[in-house]
Amino acid sequence: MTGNVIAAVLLAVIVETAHFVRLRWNFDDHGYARSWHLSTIAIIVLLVVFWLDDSHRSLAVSRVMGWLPVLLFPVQFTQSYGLQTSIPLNIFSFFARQRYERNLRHGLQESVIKLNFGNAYLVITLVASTLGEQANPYFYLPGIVLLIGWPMVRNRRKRPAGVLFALFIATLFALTGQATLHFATSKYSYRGKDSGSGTGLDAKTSHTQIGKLGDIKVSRDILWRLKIRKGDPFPSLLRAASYNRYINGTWDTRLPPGSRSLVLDFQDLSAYGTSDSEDYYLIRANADGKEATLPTLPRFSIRGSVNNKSLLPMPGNAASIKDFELDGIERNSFGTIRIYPQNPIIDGTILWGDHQSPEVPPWPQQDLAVIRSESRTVAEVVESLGLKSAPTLDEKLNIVKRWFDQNFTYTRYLSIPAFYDASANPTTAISQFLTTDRKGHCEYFATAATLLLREAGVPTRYTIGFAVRETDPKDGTAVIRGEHCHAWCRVWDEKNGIWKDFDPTPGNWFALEEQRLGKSSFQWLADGLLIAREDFFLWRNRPKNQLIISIIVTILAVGALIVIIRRLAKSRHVVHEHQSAESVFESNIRTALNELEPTAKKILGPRPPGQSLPQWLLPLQGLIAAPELVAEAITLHQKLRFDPAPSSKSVKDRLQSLADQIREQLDRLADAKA
Amino acid sequence: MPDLPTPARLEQAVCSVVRGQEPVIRRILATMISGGHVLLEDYPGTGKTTMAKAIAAAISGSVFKRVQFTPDLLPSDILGISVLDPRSQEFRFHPGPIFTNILLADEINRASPRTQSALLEAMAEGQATIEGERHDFGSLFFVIATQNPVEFRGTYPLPEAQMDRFALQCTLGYVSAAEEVAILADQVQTHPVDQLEPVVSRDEILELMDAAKKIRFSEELRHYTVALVAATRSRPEVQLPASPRASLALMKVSQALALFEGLDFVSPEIIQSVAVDVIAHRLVLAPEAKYLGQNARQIVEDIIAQTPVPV
Repeated sequence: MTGNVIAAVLLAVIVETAHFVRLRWNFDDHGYARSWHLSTIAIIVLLVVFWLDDSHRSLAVSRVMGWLPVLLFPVQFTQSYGLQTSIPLNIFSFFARQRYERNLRHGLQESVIKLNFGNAYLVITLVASTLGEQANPYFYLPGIVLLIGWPMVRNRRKRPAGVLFALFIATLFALTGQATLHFATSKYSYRGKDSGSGTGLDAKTSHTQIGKLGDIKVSRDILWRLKIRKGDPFPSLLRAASYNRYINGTWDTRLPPGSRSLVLDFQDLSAYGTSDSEDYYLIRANADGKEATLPTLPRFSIRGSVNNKSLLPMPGNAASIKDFELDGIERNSFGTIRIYPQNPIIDGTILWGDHQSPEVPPWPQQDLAVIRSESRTVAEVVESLGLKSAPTLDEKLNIVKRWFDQNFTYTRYLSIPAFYDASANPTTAISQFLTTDRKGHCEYFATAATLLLREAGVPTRYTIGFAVRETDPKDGTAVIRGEHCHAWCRVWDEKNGIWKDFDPTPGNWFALEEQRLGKSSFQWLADGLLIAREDFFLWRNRPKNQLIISIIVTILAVGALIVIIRRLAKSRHVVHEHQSAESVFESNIRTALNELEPTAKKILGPRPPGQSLPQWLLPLQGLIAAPELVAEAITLHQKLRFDPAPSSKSVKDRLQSLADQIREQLDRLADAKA
Repeated sequence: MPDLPTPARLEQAVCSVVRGQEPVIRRILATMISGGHVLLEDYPGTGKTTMAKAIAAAISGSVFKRVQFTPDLLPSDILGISVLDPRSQEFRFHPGPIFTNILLADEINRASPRTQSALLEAMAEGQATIEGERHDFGSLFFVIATQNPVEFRGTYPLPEAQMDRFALQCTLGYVSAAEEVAILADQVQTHPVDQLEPVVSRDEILELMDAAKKIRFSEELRHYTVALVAATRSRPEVQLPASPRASLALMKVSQALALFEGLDFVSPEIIQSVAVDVIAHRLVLAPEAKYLGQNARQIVEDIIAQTPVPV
C-alpha cells in the first residue's frame, strides 16, 4: 500500500476497462518480454531511489514491494489487453528466453508454459496491500475472513453448521496470518531503527557497560563527517549528552526538586538573524547573539544520518549553529541538544570556542552526590590522593589524571563483575575498578573520575559523545565512527563560571583500540557507499538541484510514455463484434437436474464445457442402485429444457422427485467414498 | 413390420442389407429426409453402392439410377440431351440419369470439374435448365455421391464451393470381422438387396420430410448451432471457414435425426452427434496446419469440446 489512492484507482480502472472495450494488441513474445523489461527497470530504479532516500535501508525492499502493483503494471497491461489469454512464462527469465530463441533457430520444438498473469497480479496486489507505510492490519482480518470464507461458503450446500464451521476455519487462518505478519513486521521491518547515528543515545538515560563482562563490540560505520574551516583547530570531543546521577551502571538526569519535569526541561533554542541574512540558533540560553556568531569563531560543518529527536553532537563550548534544515531544535538544562530534522540526512555548520558552556550552573545537591554503595571506596581514594586539599581545580584535575595515567590500564575487554562475592569487600564494579582491578574502558574512567571529583567538592557530570580521532589535517576533514564513542566528564569551573571538559581516560586509549580492532578489508567499500549516498541525497535535496532533477525525470518519463503510447497506437487492433458476442445465449430455464450438478460433481468430477449433461451423467448409471432413474430423469430434463413447446407441471414434479431420489443416492455414494 | 413408425421401418430395412453401419445409415437417411445430399468418402468395396440401392429398394415407387463418373464424362451424359427425331423433324429431349429419385454418383472426383459442376448445380437447385428449358426433378431427389480419398491417382478434387453443397460427408469404413462374416453368410445364394421388399411408400417419405420440418428447435440451440459454426471462423488453422449454409444444414439434419430418435424436439446431443459430419468437409485448412498433420474433423471435434453446451 503506497497511500496513493488516485494511482491505484487509475490502474484498477485501466485493468478492468479491458472487459468492456474492444481495443486489443497482438503482443508477440518480444512485446511480452519488453513489458517485463520495463517493469524490471522500474523496480531497480525505485529500489535505488528508496535505498538512497531512506534512513532505514532495510525497509527499501518492503517499500518497493508496496509499489509492485504499479511497477508490474506493464506486464498486467499486456495480459489484459493482449489478444492472447495468457502470457508465456519464459519472458521472466533471460536464460529461458535465450534457450527458447536458440531452439527456434534450430527448428526444435519447445513447449512453452503459458501463465495467466492476472492471478499472479492479484496475489501481488494483496501482498503489497499488507506492506508499506499505509498498510492497516485492521483491514487484514475481515478481509481474509471474507476472502477465505466466501469460497468455503459457496462450496457447501446451505447447512448452517457447515457455514459456521467454514467461517471458523477462515477466522483461524486469518488470525494465524495476522499473528505471523505482525511477528514478521516487528522482527524484520524496524530492526534497523536504532542504527542511525546518535539515536542509540538518549538524552535522559545512558546504560553503561559497567559491571558487564566480555568484549565491547563497536561498529566501524561512519556516523558523522566533519569539515573544518581552513585555519581553524579541530575540536577534540563532541558532546552528545550529559547526566548527573549514577546508579549501578546507569547514568541518568536528575533535576532539583521543584523544577519542571524532564520532558518539559527541553526548551526551544532562540534564533538569531544576522545582517548577512543567515539564521543562527544560539546554543546557550542567555547568549549575546552578536558574540555567539562572530565570524572569527572557529567552525566546522557536520554531516550525517539522523532520526527524529536525535542528539546533535557538538563541542562543549559550542556557540551557535546554522544551515541545518530543521523543524525544531531544543536543549535541556544539561546542555544536551535534540533536533527534529526535515530530512533523514542533515548538514550544517557549528560555531564554537568562546569559553562558555550551554549548561545551567550546577545544583550542589545533585552534582556533588556520590552514590552510597560507592561512597566508602571513593572517600578512601580521595583521602589517599589528597584530592580535597588541592587548592585549585586544575590541580585536582591533574592529580586525578596523573593517577589514572600511571596506575590504570585502558581495555575494552571487561573483566569486572558487578557483584562477584557478597562477602568480599569492595563489591561494586566501580569500587573494584578503583581499588583492585584498575582496568577498564572510558565509561569506568569517566564514572570513577566523576565520583572522585564530586567527593573532592567539584560539581561534575558524566558526559557521552564522540572523540575526534580520525582526522585529515590537510583537507581539514574528520570522520566519526561508531568506535569513536567516548565518555568523559564535565566539571564546573567556579572561577570562570563555566563547565568544561575533563577527559580522565589515559590518552593512548584510541591507539590501543586501533591495534586491537585491526583494519577491516571492506570498510573502504562500506564507507564509500555511505558517503556517496549521503552526499547524493544532500545534493539532490538542494532546491536548485531538485528542480533540475524533476525536470529531467519528467522529460524522461514523458518521453518514454510518448514512445510507448505511439507504438501501441500504431499496432492496436479492434476486436470484432463476433468475438465478444460469442457468449452463448443463456436460457433462464433450469431444471431439477441442473440443480443436481454440484452434487454429481463430487463423484464425476467437473463437467467439460463441451460435454452435454446426459453424456456427463452417463457413468452414474453404473454407480447407483437404480440406473433407470437417471435415464428417465435425463429424458424429462431434455424435454423441459429444449422443447420449446410448453410442458405440463406433472413433468416438472416428476423430475423433481427423480432428482431428489438420485441426490439421496449420490450423497450416500459420496459418503461411502469419503 | 407395419406396426413400427415409418423412420424405424426404413432404417431396419436398410440395416438388414448393409451390415454393421447403423449410426451412419441413420445419419444418411436423416440427411435424405432433411432434403440434403450425402458425400461418402470411402475406400472401394465398403458398401456404398449397396446402401444406395437398398435405400431405393426400400422405398416403393422410387427410381434409382447410378452414374459412374469417368474423366471423359460430359455434362450431357448426366443431364440429358436433345436429339433430332428424323420422323417428326423435331428435337426430342432424352432425359439423363439425373431425372430420378435417388442418384448414386459414383467416384464423383474422377470426372472433370465441368461435369462435376453440372451435377452439383442441379443438386442445389433441384432442377436443371437444359437448352433453355426448365426441368424439375420432383419432390424426392436425393444424391449419394462417393469419392475416393483425394490421395488416389487420377482424381480431380472437388472445389471448395461444391463441397459446401453436400449437407453431410461421412465414411462407412471397414466393418468388424464378425459383421464381415455375417455379410458373407447373407450373400451365399443371392444378394439380400435383391430380396428387399419396399417397406415405405414415396408418399410416406414426403410426409416424413414435412414432419422433420416441424421438429421443434429451441432459440437457445439455434445460438449453440451458430456458435459451433462461427467458431471455425476464429481458428487460425482454418483458411476457409464454414458458411451460414453449414448452420442451416446442421439445423435441418438435426431435426431429421430427432425424428429418427423418436423425439419431437432437438436436443444438444443430436447437434453434437452430426456436427463433425456436417461441418468438417466444408473447411479448408491453412497449409501450415495441414503439414502439422491436423485434419478438419479433429478441429471440429475440438470446437465441440470447447464450446460451452447448453445443459
